[in-house]
Amino acid sequence: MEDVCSSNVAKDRESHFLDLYQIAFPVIAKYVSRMGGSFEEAKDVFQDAMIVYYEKNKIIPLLNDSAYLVGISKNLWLKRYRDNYQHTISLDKVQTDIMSEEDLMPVSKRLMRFLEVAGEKCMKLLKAFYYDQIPLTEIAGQFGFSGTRSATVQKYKCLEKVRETVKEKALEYDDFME
Amino acid sequence: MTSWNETKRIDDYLLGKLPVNEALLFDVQLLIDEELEANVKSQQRSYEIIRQFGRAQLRNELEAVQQKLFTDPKYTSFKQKIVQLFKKP
Repeated sequence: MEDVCSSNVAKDRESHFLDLYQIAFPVIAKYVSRMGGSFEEAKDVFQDAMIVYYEKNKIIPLLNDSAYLVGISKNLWLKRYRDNYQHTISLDKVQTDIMSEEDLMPVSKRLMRFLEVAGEKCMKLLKAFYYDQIPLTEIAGQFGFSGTRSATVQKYKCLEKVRETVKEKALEYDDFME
Repeated sequence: MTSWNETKRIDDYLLGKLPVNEALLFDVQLLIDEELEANVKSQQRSYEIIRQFGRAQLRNELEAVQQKLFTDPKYTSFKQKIVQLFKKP
């Protein structure tokens, strides 16, 4: 895996996730196993719960919030597996009140990969800004910009690059459909 | 206006950061400027793609942590505790 942030920050994140896993995961694993579920299921719902939490709060879950995290996990597990595994719903499709409001339009994996390859640096900068919502001064430092001004300009240039790629792809798709 | 300025303006518009009067002006522009409208639409999709990308990266991070907990000898007791839970009687 590549480090998105400087190694220091990535290390901090890792050790925090490690602590959290050790506190909260046994609780949800116990619950899932008692309900007759598998290790894989416990793992999936726990990871998804962390993502839900992260996207809502823009921070790695606090250790104090492990009960809340367990709550989300249980909720996800019940939604997905309760009815004899009849419907497996992925996180992207789960509509929960805890998730952010904007709906996700389906983005094809191919498009994702294309963008990852076409402009990884840009994607990481945009991710830091829009997804992680890291303060601009910190982003400037992490990505080695001379200041917030140049980080800002670069951010918009990157956004424009992604936007133009989206546009091109949309055109191609239209042509293809005709 | 350089192009990134327009990108910034669309960004501000979509994220609700434009002052009311400027937002109104933008709405009017959207009605008459097809290219601007197309840019707004693709910029909106771009945010969604950034989110997907962010999510995928976060999932990688979590997967790496999980791997570590179940392979690093340092965490053997944790691993055993979990394995025990899913042992078939």
